[in-house]
Amino acid sequence: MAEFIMVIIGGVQFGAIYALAAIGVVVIHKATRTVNFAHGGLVMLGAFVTYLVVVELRWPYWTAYVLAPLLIGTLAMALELVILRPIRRADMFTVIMATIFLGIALSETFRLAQNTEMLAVPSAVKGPPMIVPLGEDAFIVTAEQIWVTIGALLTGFAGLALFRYAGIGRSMRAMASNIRGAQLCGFSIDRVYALAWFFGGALAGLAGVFAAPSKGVSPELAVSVISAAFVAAVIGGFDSLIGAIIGGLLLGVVETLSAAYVSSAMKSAVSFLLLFVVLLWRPDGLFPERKGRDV
Amino acid sequence: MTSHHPVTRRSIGLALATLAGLGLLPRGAEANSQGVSKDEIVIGALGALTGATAFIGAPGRDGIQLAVDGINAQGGINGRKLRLVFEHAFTPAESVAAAKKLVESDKVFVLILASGSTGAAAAADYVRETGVPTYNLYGSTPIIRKPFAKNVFHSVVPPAEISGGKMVDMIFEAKPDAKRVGVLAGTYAFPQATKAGLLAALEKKKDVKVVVEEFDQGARDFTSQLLSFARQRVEAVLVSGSFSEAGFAIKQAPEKGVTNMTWVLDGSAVNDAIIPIIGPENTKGVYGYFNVPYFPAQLDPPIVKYNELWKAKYGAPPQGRPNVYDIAGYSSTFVLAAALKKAGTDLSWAGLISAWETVKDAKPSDFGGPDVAFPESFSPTDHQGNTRLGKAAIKDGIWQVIAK
Amino acid sequence: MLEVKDLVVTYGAVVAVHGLSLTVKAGQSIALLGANGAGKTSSVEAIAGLIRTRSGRVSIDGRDVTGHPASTVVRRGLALVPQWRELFRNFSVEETLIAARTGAAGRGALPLEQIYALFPVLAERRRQIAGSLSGGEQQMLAIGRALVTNPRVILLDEPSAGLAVGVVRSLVGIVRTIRDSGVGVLLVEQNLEIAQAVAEDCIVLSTGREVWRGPMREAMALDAIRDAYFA
Repeated sequence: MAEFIMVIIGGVQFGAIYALAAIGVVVIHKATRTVNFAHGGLVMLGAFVTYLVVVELRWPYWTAYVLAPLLIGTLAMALELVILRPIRRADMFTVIMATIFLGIALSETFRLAQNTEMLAVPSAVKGPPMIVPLGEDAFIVTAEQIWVTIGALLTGFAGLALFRYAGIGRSMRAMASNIRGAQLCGFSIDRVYALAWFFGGALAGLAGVFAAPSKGVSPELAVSVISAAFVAAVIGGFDSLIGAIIGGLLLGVVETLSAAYVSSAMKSAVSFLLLFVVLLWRPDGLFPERKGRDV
Repeated sequence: MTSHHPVTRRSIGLALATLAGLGLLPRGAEANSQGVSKDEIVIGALGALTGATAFIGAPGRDGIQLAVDGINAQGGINGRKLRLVFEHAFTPAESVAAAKKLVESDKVFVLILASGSTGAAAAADYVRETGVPTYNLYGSTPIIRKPFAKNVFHSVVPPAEISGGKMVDMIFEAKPDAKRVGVLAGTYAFPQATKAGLLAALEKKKDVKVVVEEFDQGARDFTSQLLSFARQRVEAVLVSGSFSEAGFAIKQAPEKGVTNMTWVLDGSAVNDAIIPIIGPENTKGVYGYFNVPYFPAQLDPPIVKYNELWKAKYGAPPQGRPNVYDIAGYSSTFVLAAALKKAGTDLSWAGLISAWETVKDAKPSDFGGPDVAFPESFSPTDHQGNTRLGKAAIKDGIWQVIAK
Repeated sequence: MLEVKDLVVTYGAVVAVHGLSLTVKAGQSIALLGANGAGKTSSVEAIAGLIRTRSGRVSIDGRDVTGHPASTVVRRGLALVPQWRELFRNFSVEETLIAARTGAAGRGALPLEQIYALFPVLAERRRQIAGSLSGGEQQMLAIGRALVTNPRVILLDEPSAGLAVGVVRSLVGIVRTIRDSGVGVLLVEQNLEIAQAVAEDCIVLSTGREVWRGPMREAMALDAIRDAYFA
């Protein structure tokens, strides 16, 4: 039982990071109809900012939580402006190819600039592991697990609330719902797209800060995050923020359970199996958005 | 048609070179002295500059170059300057291609394998076949070591039997009564070589149950392996992999219920970059061996001097640099220089090999460098330059050699 | 005041609108008439900035808005109620109106109470999701959304399409109220009765060209009108 609880806690911790990354993918897709395959690269750069701030500059850890979203949000906005805006009217395939290669470019630039296997980032919170008695047995939880799980989920829900209830979220949702209607209300496509990329990029940056201590900073981080975020987003219905959060948590837990009780080699196979099963059962994901227009 | 021109030595040489180029002459020519000119000796090296093993290859290149600069500043070797040609190679196929290119197209006189075991294993057949004098810096794999090859020499990294035995000894120094020992090894070439050495050494221990778990290169999640150790109540774990793999395994251990564990790490994982991963407060019970007598962050005079040289050439180092591969690349180049110097005027492949086999206690200070490695010695039957290892632990937030 | 001069709209090689010129003054109401495919919708969408104009000039109160996107045009005081309403179907009524207030912020958007006073049904349904409203209510919401932006000129593209007779009648009253409050109205209409009830003057288009212009009363007698509307 204690072992099972520890496995679940570990799964929820990874799942919370996946959820945060998946929300960013969903926000950008919802508002701009762009599937951002470069999102993993943005998460990796968020983790790199954490490394620079915490390890190189030795600034207090909280500055990473402020700087990473600002810097990565701004970078994402700049990438939209310079690379994606000129091809906005191109077909979907072209845009997807552009974001895939953008992601590769981010990873490879990092690889060339930082010639190490991996950059290590310390935990944001320190302290001995906590032993929680459970009948005869006891399970162990670390301060970092609590911090990452709660922090990433709270950030995710804050992002969701901002998108759902705040003015900036309203402009993005209006654009997502009806692009012509949104323009007729005075929302500029250019501005809302820039805003959506900033917002999605900021969420990616924060996901990077939370992921850095438990995953390390390397181009492999980009690859593992984008595949997990993508699976989580699709499970959740791809256009639902709450779906992305649930999908991320589900994926983290299922992956860890399969590593614990089947085999660690099965981990990625299981994530795609989960995707397959969910899509068989509910082809539009767990939280489908109603689509179509009224006449 | 009869020739009226005297057949000069030069034209014979040209013809032979052409035939050699066409592959018509048997290779391994004893009198080969390619890459040697009046004032220069070209040495080639290969290793990964990008990819998962860049933490070996890139420091290897930088270490060799730093030593080359130092040796040249002292006037070079018998009047000749050294010149390094480095070729990036990450995959086995790239390693073979890089070795061929260096020997056949760049015409290097000596080949240094500055890759990990993967690259060394891949290039093994080719270097045996060509007979090029080869210096294997970091490959512990038996493929480059057995059977014995006249032209292949090994540096600071000893064969896996020696390092494996040393790691097992460290376990029983820390926990003399340990009855259940875990082995956590990567599935790629270098950790597999170590794993064989570890299992051989553990076999000699009576009444010790061994639990073997493996992981893929670049693994970040050790749930299944750690649960297996916890279920079987393992008391100590021998880890063979990179610093990031070992670091995340140790970091996640308490999260899976593994506490009060003794960890003994392979040399490749003994790197200061592991400390932020584990957390400096959680480093009790973590040991490892180190192939050289000093860690980069220690304050002993030779390593301080070495760090000054490194920073003067490469600037402020990134996290985890300089590492053991920097230091080994540096000191090994001085050992090579000692062999080249001993060869004197006979700068042919055969000449260098016989001179190399008589090298005793070669070290950087022979050419004015700081002695940051154990001295190396060779004989016609033993091409392993170093067999000594330092025992290391994390003290005051850095790795330190606690016994030589 | 809306001024349009020599407006040309093309789709590839097809010319949809050939040099349309018109003026809508404050409190004035003009109908744009013609058969399906005459270029009415293309004209209003181009004026509103939703589609590109090939050439010509559009200005609002003397400020040139030619080639500006719809989001800018609306903030200069020209609102379009598009043919398909283009509502945010997962937004509530109130949220839709708030969105338009946010989007047009800076040009003195109207308080929601003013919209609710004009459309009491929207006040009743303020928490309801737009997609679940009846056709008439959706049309009210679309007009309300345009009015929140406090326009100087409003373009209505077939507001009566698909609505029941009773609803259409109240719609006529609302458009008159809007006009009488000093907002210029440009109405695209298939239903001549409504056009006559609301507009004083009209412009008749046929295959993208203006074929007639004059008082609404006289238009009823024209062949072109009869062909287009009663054939």
